[in-house]
Amino acid sequence: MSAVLEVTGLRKVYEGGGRRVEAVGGLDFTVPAGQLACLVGPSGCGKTTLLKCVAGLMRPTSGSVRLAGEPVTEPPPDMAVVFQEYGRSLFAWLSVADNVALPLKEKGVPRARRAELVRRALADVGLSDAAGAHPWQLSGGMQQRVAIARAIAYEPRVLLMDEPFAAVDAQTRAELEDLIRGLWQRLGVTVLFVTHDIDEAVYLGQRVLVLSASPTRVQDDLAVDLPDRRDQLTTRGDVRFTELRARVYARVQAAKRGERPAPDPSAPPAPAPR
Amino acid sequence: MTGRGTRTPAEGGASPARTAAAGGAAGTAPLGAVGVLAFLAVWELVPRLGLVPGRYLPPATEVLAALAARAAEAAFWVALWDTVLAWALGLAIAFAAACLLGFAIGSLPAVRAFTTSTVEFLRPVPSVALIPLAVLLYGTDIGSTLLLVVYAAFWQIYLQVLYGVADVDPVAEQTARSYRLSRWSRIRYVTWPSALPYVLTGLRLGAAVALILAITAQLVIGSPGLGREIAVAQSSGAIASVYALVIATGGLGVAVNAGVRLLERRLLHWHSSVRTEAAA
Ligand SMILES: Nc1ncnc2c1ncn2[C@@H]1O[C@H](COP(=O)(O)OP(=O)(O)OP(=O)(O)O)[C@@H](O)[C@H]1O
Ligand SMILES: [Mg+2]
Repeated sequence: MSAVLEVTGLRKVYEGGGRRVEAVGGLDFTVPAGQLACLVGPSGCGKTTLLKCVAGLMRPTSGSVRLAGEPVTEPPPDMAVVFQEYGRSLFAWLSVADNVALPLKEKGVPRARRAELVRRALADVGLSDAAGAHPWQLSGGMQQRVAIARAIAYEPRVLLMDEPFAAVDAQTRAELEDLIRGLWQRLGVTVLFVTHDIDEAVYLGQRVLVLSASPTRVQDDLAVDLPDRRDQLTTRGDVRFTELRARVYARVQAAKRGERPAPDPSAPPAPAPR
Repeated sequence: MTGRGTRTPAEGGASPARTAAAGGAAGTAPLGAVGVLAFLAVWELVPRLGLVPGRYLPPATEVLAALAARAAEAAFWVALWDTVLAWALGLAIAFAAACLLGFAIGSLPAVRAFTTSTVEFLRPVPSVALIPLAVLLYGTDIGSTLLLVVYAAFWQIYLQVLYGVADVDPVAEQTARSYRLSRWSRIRYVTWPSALPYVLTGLRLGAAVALILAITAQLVIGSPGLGREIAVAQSSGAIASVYALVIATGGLGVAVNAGVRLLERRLLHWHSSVRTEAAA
């Protein structure tokens, strides 16, 4: 299967105010079409920066991002981003339904279809009742779900999510994880999912990319060989789940201590696509 | 929502937050009425007790009677209409120009930097200094009033528009870009609503200044309106009439301010400064 997303030698240096931060220091990875890949890494390691470069919102200092073979220089079509600052990414002056509908309107989706997509997306995230409310009338977790609904209603081929479940309670979080996996399976969308939660990364992903501390590199890249049908209880109780979790945990700890990825001859091969 | 919620326009004294506070102050209305009555009573007594000669300050009842007499004449309403017309027209022109220029220049940082020093020079020029120019161009026509009104109101609104355009949340902007909203859609759906609290603050400041300049122009130049009526009343020694007309202009000012505040509350129902009902 072809790589839909290719990140090659990606480097990003922030300069300004007399401060120079090399946020991303040379990243290489590819994501095959239809994969659900999770990115974990210590706080401040450049995950958001990476996502913004992939989304075409920020120009890398060097290196390139290619989407379906085309270099990304501006936000590509068929891509949706769920931002870490979900509250600020919603438009306070629009109702929840209008927030979800606006990108569809811009895309030229006919009115009736638009209404249907909005209704379905809001139902999917359990917010049918809140369609007429304004975002600031909702709780943090509900706002986050509006941002997710907006992204899925858009029917993207590539979905970038930046710590989307950070603000929701454990119960909602579990539901949203299953929702994302369900949508991913149903729509065949390629997902790049940033999280700081190791359990979540292993539970959700087909693959976990562990990033090192800044300047960021890929510290580890491991395939999650759990069955495709996952379930909050049995999967999390699985022995293999625990093993994978321990491995990712160890790698993230190593990254935090600033250990660089050693050229490891026994490194696992890029995981097989679904 | 943390970042957004606490934002208010840089122009501190008249921020939308104050608007909400004033809007929620309905409970103080009876107290305010008592205050007005007390003021009128003092005004009535001061000339009657001879503390100030009645020639300079006629008692309140005399002034109110003069106001009632004026209000019975068509000329008063014509003058009022002329003032409102010059005010509204001038404000509308200033508003349209300030929004167009503000959005155009505000979204181009280089042009903004390029024009800043010119703006800083032109903005403090008091409008009244343009009176000779206005007379030269338009005589005692409404045009001379308009020139002063537009000049004064323009800067108030323009500066607020610039602040507003600069205060668009970068995350909201990036969201719009990531969903490929066109430049026009971003202005319409993101920049404009984000800047609206500032724009309306500018409108409120501009509306007040516009009224001041409309009256000033009519008073000094003699273009038609309440200002000219005041000058005429003064030169014919009708002191009670002068005070009556001053009260009428004051009433106009109150109405203008209340109108813009109402507009703010309507248009900014989603903004943190106006969300009082939702919070209750
Ligand atoms: N606009 C910016 N200007 C300068 N430096 C920046 C900017 N944005 C991010 N950085 C720096 O780049 C580094 C990576 O930031 P980034 O937001 O990508 O981290 P992150 O991995 O998403 O962190 P977190 O998990 O806390 O969200 C940090 O050191 C940060 O200080
Ligand atoms: Mg981040």
